[in-house]
Amino acid sequence: MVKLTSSDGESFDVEKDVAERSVLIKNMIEDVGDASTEIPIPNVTANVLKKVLEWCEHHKSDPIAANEDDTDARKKSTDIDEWDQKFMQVDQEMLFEIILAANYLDIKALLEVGCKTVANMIKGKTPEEIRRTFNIQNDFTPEEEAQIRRENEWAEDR
Amino acid sequence: MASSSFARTGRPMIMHDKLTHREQAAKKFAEEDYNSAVTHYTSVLDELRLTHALVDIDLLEKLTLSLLKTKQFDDALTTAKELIASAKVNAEGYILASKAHMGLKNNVAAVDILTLGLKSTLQQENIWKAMRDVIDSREKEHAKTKDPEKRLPLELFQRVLKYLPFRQLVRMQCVSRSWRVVILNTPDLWTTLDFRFTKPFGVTVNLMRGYYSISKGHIKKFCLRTTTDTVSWSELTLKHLVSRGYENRHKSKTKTKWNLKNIVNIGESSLRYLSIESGERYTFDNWHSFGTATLNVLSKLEILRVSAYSLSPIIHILLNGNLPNLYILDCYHDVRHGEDYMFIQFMDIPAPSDASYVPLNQIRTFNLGGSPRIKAGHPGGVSVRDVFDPETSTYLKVVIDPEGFHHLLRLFPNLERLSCVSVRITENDFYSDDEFSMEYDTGGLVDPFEMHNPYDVYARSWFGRDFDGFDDRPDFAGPIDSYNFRRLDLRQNSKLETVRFSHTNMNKTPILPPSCKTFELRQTPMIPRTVKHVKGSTHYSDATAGDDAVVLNEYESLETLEVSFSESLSNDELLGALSRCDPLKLTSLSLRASIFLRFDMGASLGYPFWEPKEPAMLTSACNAQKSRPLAAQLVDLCPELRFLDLAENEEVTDLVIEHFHGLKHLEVIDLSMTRVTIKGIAWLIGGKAQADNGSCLTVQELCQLIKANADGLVAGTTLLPMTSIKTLVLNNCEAISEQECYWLRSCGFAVEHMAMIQEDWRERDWDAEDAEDNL
Repeated sequence: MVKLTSSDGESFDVEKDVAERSVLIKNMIEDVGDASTEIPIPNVTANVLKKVLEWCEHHKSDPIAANEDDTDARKKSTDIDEWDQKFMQVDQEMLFEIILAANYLDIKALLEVGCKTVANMIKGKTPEEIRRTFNIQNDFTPEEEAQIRRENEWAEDR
Repeated sequence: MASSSFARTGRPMIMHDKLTHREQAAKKFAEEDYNSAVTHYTSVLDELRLTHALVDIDLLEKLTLSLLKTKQFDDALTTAKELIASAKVNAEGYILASKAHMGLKNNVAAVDILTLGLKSTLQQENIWKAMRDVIDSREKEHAKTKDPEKRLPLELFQRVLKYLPFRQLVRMQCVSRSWRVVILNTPDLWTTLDFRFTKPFGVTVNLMRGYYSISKGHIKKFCLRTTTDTVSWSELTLKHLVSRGYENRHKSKTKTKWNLKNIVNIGESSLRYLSIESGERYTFDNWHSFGTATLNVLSKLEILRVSAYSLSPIIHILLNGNLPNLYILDCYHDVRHGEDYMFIQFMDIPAPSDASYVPLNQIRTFNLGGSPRIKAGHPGGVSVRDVFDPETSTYLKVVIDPEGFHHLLRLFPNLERLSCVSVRITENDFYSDDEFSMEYDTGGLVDPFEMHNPYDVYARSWFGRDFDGFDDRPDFAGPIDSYNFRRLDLRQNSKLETVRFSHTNMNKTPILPPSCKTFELRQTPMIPRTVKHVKGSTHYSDATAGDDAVVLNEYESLETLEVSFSESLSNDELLGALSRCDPLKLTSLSLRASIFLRFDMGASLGYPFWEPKEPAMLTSACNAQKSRPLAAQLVDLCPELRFLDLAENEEVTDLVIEHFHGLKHLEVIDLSMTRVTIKGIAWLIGGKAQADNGSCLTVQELCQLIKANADGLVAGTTLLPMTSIKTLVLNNCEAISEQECYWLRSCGFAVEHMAMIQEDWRERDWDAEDAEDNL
């Protein structure tokens, strides 16, 4: 068992192989050499850490993609497996926190799921819909926007 | 719903109905079904208004609340304002209005309306509370933005973008400025253009162009569906991609990666226009693997534009009958070779006497040399300054061996247009020349041209010779040995209408066929017919013998003659050439920047290259006319001129252009960068018109006269004939003011008067312009 402490001081006891989904934690355990010491996770709050560990628990037996090929990320498939989809049904705030935590903890697969989820929120939407989804201020004047649209007519699917 | 239609149709209202509305509205409001509540409240209000009854404040409040709940902020704002209007002291209206403003994301307006409320009502406490809300929400918005571009580190946001299809990425530029910046500056997003999953006919040339431009050259991988029936190209321009494609093809294991041959082959059944503008060696080096095999199948190709390196193989493809529809062949000089130059040799092109000689009847237009940086609208390609660099004078880029060139042009019996830009026609004797190898010991290095500018070589091999009459400009004359080829005889090309030699060393003018209407020699030197000719001598070698044959009628069909940027055109030559033109046909003459023309003098100054048509007669005429200024003789020789370009000639002054008043059909005259003043223009337009008192008219008076004349006000009394001139080009004429141009324009002339039209073309950012071209 490994003891992880979140930024707001809450402690979590997790199995070693669950915690080691995170490359960061894995390296720390290796560095310390003693799995029983407490590992501080200063960048992640308890509620986010709990959520991340839930994901790690479910995926603990997944084979670790050793050298994740960067070109794979370019595959435009945004398919996410069902459990992960459910897992990612959280508010946007939590979603971003999970992505940032996965990035910090270096959990490639979770980061990928997170990015794909955001991509899916964007996919197929018009700029206006995207703005509404993420509450983004349109800082173009109508003329500028029309100009950009005109310039990019070539990309319209006809 | 049925009940609300009563109100709309304006039927008499029954009290029962009204009550129902109000009751229903209140009920729905209590049930939190705000959509229905809005409908009912609206009906109630409509009814009240119809009967001009006093509008109920409570009703308005409830309606506003319902509208806010259903996020119809615009309507809510209108209603709230109504509420404020009907109850100015009631705080509720201001608070609701501020909420509507917040819904519309206009926090400033929300604060404004609350401030107004503070002034108008006594219920200050509630308003302050609302004010607090507005400020809180503003802070909250800043702290907790949900914009992934702001929430995620750049790297992660880019990662998200990578999952999105390119069409959407293009559209997403509109989301916000910062999104646009990220999208356009993440090259990784634009490396792969994958059309394998695109629906048929979705792939257009426009799409490819757009993608190339947005990818800023980062494109590495290009995939197309392998089935040929899905895409039909009719036009394809490939720029800067060929080399990357090749590099990539060798590295990649995937079959579908970008591959020029694939793309071209996909269009095989329909491709009519193909332009390969790579600019790197790959076009040439890989020509035999790519070019021959690829082009052989393009049976519908009509226009082909490739590097001149590829000319030789293409001719062979043509000779084999594999491009039966090709009628425009455009072989440009690959400028990206930098100081490099290309030599084209046609050792294996069959001579017309060969049994294997097959005339290529379909070719109508042939361009050789020039640069791919052709500006749209520039007729026939490059402008002079695109290729001419006086600092290095290395503008002769394509070198072609004379025999091969002769044979080549004989292959195109139906050629209508021939254009040679920055072409040097000469033997390629650099490699074998002993002198060269002695002077430049390359020490076993591979290619001497990598080390030396070929023109240095020419200069060296040339300076030692005894050559009289020209200054030390190897670029203009070339070594004497290179003169040994004969005049290019184009009479076999009996349909040729346009011949252009620009920036070439065609120092012997080609013999034109009688079909030729336009002949342009731009920055192309001419040398005296014989080397032995010495300045001042009147004895020529036998001009009708051998290769130097004089064809007396060859200019009789010309309508346009241009001898511009010439450093060897003298008065004699010009008059000789013009005397051979048909005065009734020649309508356009350009003598731009011909520095040896002496407008103040007559004939016999330089070396006659163009001898007069009838030498004896002209000699006597010459003697008689020697004193006549050139301009006056020009008017005599070409009375039908409609277009005259005298720009960039220092010699052109008021006294010169005065003569051109005699050209009764002149429509356009270009006097840019000359020394003419408005007085000269006045003389040109009106002749040296005299006013009644015998003194010269001022320009203003003249203009008034012309104007009056045009208006018919002084018909019959004026001395002025109607002028045929319509357009005056006076760019960079420092002696002419904008005010004077205004007078001219007010008389109905089109006047072009731009100062400093010459941009510093040497400092242009070519790569940026290339990028623009890509657009």
